Amino acid sequence: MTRVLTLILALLTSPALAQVQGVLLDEPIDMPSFSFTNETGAEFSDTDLNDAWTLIMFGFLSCPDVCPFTLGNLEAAVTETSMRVRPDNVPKVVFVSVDPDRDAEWVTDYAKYFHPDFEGFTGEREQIDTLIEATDSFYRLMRPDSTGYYEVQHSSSVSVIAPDGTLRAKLQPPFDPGLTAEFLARLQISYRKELTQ
Amino acid sequence: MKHLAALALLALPTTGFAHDLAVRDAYVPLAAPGATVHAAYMMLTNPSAEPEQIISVSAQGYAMAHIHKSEVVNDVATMSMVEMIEISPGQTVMLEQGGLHIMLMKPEAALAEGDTVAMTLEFADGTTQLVEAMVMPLMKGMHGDHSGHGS
Repeated sequence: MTRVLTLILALLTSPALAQVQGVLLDEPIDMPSFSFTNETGAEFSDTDLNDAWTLIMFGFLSCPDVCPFTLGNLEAAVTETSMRVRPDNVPKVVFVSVDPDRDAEWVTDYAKYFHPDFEGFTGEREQIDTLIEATDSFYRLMRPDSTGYYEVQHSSSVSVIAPDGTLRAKLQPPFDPGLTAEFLARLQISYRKELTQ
Repeated sequence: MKHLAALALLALPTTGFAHDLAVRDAYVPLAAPGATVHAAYMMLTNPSAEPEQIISVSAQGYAMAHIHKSEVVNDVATMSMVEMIEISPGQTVMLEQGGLHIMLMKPEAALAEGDTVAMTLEFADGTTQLVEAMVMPLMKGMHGDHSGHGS
């Protein structure tokens, strides 16, 4: 939480509709090694971040409001992005559940409901905490009520990982598809410029 | 037959008419596999001269329903129970994505597009009002029926 996110990139379609769809990090942040699994036996680790753009969203399946709309908007945003960037630059979307006890059996089916290419994973608490910390994210399992149900608080922003495996930006609500796609396309242009300098 | 129909109308319970919130665009988004919690959204307007206080909700086909509110504060998404929705005379309250919603817990069956979810709003004076919400695709409810009502 101490890292300073500056250089806010406000994308203006018109002054009246000014919305911030994301923030760029001052400096790219390396990702530590981590490993997640899902009910299909697939794995997601730090090496999967190489050579592709990846969007990582944290959430939980018993989340009726924020999580499904974030994934729905990401689906629309990625579709928009695919019209603006080369096919190999279309971001992969990875949903990471921070609630493995309830979600481990469903996390893939859940993610793929929003788009067949979306992937869902969860894993050991230690692995979740590693990725949460590395992406400057947050979650907290709340105290269960009398029925055993508990809420989960979690970061609303989505981490953007570049093909060099570093965290470059965060996407923020409301995840307007067109503006988010514009943000991602511009981020990719500045990334390529940086590589050629 | 006419007489029978008239009798049937007279026999309808009257409690449902004590509160006449105008309900628009009530919908429940289709939920992903594994989602054991659904949400209902709607627009509630109080056309009466008295304030209305909704203190609880129940829903057919669900173990429980709560009035809930999502908030994003400092990049953290949180949800909390809401004790009461108070609607002043003439006021409209939106139950919408990212804010107030009815949380529907433990569905007895999966939803299908075109289904309806019957909910009962309970008011502070003990009376109730029935609301039927359409089940529709996630983004359709958000971008379709609700666009244009915001301003």
